[in-house]
Amino acid sequence: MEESIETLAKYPFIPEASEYFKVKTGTGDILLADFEKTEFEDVVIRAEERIREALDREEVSYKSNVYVELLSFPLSLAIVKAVGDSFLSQRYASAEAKRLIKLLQNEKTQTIFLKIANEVLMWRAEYVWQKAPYDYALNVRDYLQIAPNFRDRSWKLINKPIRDGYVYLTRGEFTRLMAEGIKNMIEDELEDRFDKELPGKLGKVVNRIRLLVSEKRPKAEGLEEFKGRIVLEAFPPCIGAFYQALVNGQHLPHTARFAVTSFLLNIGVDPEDIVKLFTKLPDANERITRYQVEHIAGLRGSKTKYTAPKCETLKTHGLCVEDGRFCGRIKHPLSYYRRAIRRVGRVGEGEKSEVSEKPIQEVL
Amino acid sequence: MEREKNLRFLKSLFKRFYEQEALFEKISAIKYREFGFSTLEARMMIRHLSFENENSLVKFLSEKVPADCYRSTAYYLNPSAMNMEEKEWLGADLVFDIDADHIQTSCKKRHDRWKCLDCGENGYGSAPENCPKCGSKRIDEKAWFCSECLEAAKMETVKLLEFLDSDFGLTDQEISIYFSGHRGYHVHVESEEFKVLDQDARREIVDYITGLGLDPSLHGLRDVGGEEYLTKILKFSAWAERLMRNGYDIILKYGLEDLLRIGVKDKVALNIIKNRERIIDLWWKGKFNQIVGVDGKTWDSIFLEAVRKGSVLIDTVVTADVHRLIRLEGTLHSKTGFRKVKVLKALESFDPLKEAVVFKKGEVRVHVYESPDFRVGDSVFGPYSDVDVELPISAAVLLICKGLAHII
Repeated sequence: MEESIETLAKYPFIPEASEYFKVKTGTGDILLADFEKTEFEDVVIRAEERIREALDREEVSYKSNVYVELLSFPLSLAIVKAVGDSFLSQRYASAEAKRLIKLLQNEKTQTIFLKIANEVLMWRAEYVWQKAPYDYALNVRDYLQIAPNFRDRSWKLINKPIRDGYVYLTRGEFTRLMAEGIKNMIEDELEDRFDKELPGKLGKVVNRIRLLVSEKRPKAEGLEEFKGRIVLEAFPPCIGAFYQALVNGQHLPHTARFAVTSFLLNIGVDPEDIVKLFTKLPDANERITRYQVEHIAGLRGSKTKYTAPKCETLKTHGLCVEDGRFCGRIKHPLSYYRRAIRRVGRVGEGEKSEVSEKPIQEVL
Repeated sequence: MEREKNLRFLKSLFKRFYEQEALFEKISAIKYREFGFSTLEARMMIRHLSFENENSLVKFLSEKVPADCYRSTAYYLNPSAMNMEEKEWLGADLVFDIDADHIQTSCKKRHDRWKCLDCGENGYGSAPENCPKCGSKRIDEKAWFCSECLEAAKMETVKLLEFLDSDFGLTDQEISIYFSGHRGYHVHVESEEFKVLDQDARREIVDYITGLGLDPSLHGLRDVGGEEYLTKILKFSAWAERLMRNGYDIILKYGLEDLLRIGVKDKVALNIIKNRERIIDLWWKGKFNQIVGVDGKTWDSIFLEAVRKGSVLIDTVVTADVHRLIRLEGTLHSKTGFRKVKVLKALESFDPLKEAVVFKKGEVRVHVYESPDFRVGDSVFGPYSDVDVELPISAAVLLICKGLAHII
């Protein structure tokens, strides 16, 4: 089906859009050098604006100068790639996804929904007319590739109506999933960075964006400051229970062992001290334990340092303590620890000695 | 000495089995799979192996005679690479493991034993958390398995198959069912649809099947929607249907004791028992809020029980793991001497203690330390305590593999 240029301007990632770029320039793909020409000046301005909108408002707008709107999208991508900053890449992808949500909310028919779902995202989706309260059916595999990113429990597979491999969704839910799909697609595209600086005008845009990114970037908070000491009082209930079990030499399932080991390693406990902890267990084998701990620490095998499992994973394996009711809206044992340690740290100067800041050997 | 003799005996039997039986059904994409084996002698695991085809695998088995054989559920570009990064993961089958060990059956009281490692106190059934005598937590457990355990595992598997069919829309061609050779069943799903799913997505499938995090109100079951609305919901939501069906059973069949057990207050429970018919009538009309004397808390308890009845006790770790090694189909289980065998007929009529038996000819004399009664094929044996007996090889192998007997 032939799409109007207006549709392409709204949804510049649909396949026909790239055909359009070629026809317009007559020479195949537009070269980056072409943007030096005055006829593309508006496009360069709008491309920079798209990125600024993403950084300032976390949402890209839609402007009705369709030709500029369409061509500025791939140029924005090129500029973001040239900046080569993952914070910007993510911010930009999610701001474009928000733009998509707004535009889809104004669509009257299901045509464009199915086009984006089935031809851009390569999903298997159907319109389920008159099957209210649902509007779309999406193949469960496609649903599972997108929805686990969402935290709210209404998105959990188990809380969705499912039959014969299809998940039934309202239009609003379907829109949200498509936006996430497009966000991921743009993020993947932006992974492919440029290692060369852009020429002329575009190079200047890149520099301006870099400056703006450094202002907007949130300040990182690492666990580094807590390295080398452990504060037992700040352990989340699950890890606290596993830790206690280890200290008492009680049996622990493998999943719990992995959780407590990776947690302790993540907060900076020495692998050797963790091995000592494990050798208290009834089925202890120091050689195997050392191998496993060092493996998780990334000292062996794949050399990947493992992060402690998140709350959802612990729930699946039945390791979460009382369904997280002590943890508020925390999603990860390490963030519980980070917050709790700040709370413990906040007590008056004189009381600070209550915190066990001794190295783990002494705590044991 | 006894250990040596047992080992020689098992090794010669296992070797003959692997030499004589062309045991393998086709393993799909065999050269993209990682293989792992444990040895009879040292119980060591050798992994990161790969084979070009079935012939080279069979040759390996009859030469090395492993105790247990495993293969990856995953497909790798370089399955024999030593670490995951170099292996290059391409995808993985979706697998489920249902083990009688995870199911509370009444027969456990008869055939499972535990012993406190500190004071020596011992007893029957699943091990307690603390030793009742000295309070120690160091407790050794010896679990047996019987027809009743295997039947319970089979029933769970039947429930799982219903999920795969009606919820996930999988076809029979995509699903293979195996008896594991020990206490349970493995269900392998080889489907392009599911191959690429990552751990998070597989965890969602696990939670779906185990009923974790289910909220009945998100399925529209706490709304006042009326009959027509309910019909629509049940048409599209397999879980909603399961909840309604199980809830129906609970209201109609649960006695006072059962209702109290699931957390219903005694006054409400009596009310439910008295008015079953009327409640059921309103139940199917979706008028939960019009049932006098049954409060929201009670509905929560009933739905929670309905979730428990509807869910399946799968091993959560196995299904969520995309790098899992699973027992190789057709091979022997070193804890029983049975083989992992494909269920080719209707699961309901499948008898694992017959179909998985390998060593069918000959008898051998063994000394049995202690064993409950058990069945192999059509014959029942035991119980035995500190006796010498002549047994069919398959029964003797089972006891030896379980560490309950030795060759004389």
